[in-house]
Amino acid sequence: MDFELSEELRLFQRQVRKWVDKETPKDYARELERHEHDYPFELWDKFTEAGYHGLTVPEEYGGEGGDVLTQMVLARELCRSLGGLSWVWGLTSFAGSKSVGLYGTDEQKERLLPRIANGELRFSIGFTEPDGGTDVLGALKTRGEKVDGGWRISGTKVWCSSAHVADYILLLARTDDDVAKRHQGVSLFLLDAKAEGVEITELRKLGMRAIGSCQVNLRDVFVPDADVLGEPGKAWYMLLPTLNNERMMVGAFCCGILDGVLEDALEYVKQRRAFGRAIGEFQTIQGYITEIALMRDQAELMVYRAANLLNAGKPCHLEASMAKVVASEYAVKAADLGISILGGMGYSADTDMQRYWRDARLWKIGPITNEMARNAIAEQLGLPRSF
Amino acid sequence: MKVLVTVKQVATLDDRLDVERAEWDLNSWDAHAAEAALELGDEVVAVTVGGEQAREALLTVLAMGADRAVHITHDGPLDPLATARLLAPVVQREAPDLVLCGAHSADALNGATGVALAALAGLPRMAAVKAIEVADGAATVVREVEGGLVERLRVKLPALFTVQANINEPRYATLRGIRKAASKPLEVIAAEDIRPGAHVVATTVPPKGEGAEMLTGSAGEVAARIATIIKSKVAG
Repeated sequence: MDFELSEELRLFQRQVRKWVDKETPKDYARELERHEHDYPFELWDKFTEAGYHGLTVPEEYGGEGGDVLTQMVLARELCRSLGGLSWVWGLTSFAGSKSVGLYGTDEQKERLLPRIANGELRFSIGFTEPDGGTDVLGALKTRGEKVDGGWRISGTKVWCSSAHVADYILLLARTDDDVAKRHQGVSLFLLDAKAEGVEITELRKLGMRAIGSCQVNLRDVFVPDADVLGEPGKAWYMLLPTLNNERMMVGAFCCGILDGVLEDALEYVKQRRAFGRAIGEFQTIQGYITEIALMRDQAELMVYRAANLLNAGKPCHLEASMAKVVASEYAVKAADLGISILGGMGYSADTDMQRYWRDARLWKIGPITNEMARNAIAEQLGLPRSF
Repeated sequence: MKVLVTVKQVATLDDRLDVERAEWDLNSWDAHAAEAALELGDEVVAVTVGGEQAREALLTVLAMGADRAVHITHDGPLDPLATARLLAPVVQREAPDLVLCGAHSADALNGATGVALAALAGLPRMAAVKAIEVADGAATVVREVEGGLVERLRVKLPALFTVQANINEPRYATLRGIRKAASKPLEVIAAEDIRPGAHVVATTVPPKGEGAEMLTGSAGEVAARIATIIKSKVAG
């Protein structure tokens, strides 16, 4: 059993850390995040210049290569400073390069992957609908109707991150009602976000600011056959590996939050003085700091285990779900302790604890609620399905 | 033009002085030297002296774009002259047009290895340069000297320069570069038995003085506190 990152990953991690400290330090992230509805194009361009959009895109398609662990290392290092803004990179990485790379036709890969790798294409995701996100299939009212040369799609999607600046929305729609089970007859589309019939409005929210979360209304939007991802009607079977990847990425983002919280808290308790000494000398404060470190290491081990399994092509749904639950709950708890440690400064918009807390809070309810993830974990452990 | 760059993997120690848990990384001045070498050279050879951890310094420079590397393996501390004595045979064998070194290392701060290497290799040298231009077998270098003066010098190549951090912005190694680095030639040479002329007896954290006040808070709060301190000192 080896708990060390490989030499290649260690070198990559070090380079990313230097890049983050210089190009996207925490005060830069705070400033971007203040402007809730201004998408940070400059940050996108920095990722392009660094080659990060090409991560996990095979070199033959102009990418940087790399596997799931590489993706996790980058996600974690970015999030240590950027918090939720890391989705500016992450969304296209998993909804674009990962999905097209796994399920795209050769033509789609040749057409899309090089443009993803060089930062030309942004992806959003459209699964959740106004009537439900946890029970995606139960709430799925968006319909795709087969027409000559493609499909006509109508419906409403919500919480589509960065849809207002996206080129494509990875969209889930029902294309066949005449099916024995509800997970049959659904299809995935690479929907042109600028197509006629697409109407996008931004939503306001607690955290994850500046990346823009949107409601997307679709009225008879035409999607050509060439932009159907995978086999029509069989999308649900394809989604699982993508969802596992998404859960691991959330886990890695949470590890980054835990890193950021720990380093900020440590720095503060060594400097802040009360009753004639540094507050880091008080036992209660030391207990809080230790708690954060314990949580960080547990989350790290679980996320890297899940990523290792996915890399090895082994089943990892259970482990990915567990990692997501543990990492997200720890990230929120750690940021909350961080606010307690920093006191008023932790509540201040001029420091990062509150930003970490607001961003991490999403990951307890998305992309799957931890309650629903627990149901899935129980089922994987052999208990009867509870939903 | 063939450029040889010497690099060092350095440890960042905190107050605990625990080398076992130290973060190791390429000396930042050497990253600037490597960047300059890559900008100037058609062929770049990176050389280091050190233990197993020093290999990562070479891999980093290979990932940035160097063509090949030489690792002179040696465990334990060395002083600048001893290090230069190990580097000199490689410099003489490679016969580069230009040798670049960081002005000093972040851990030892001697600023002497490059200078000693120039003497041993019989090369003209300029220390702490901040710009290099090469044309017609000669280099024009710029140095900042005492009093804010800027010195411009012309040196016939081959020569050795130690470079300052303001010479350039080192590139980041990409994932693709890191992967390529693993397959580039990396020659390992066991160091000759060499005894440093001086060795570190102890490294300690200096005792904390009185009178320092760490200011925390928002920019406004910190500024207000600084103003109060200045007023109390000046008025007092």
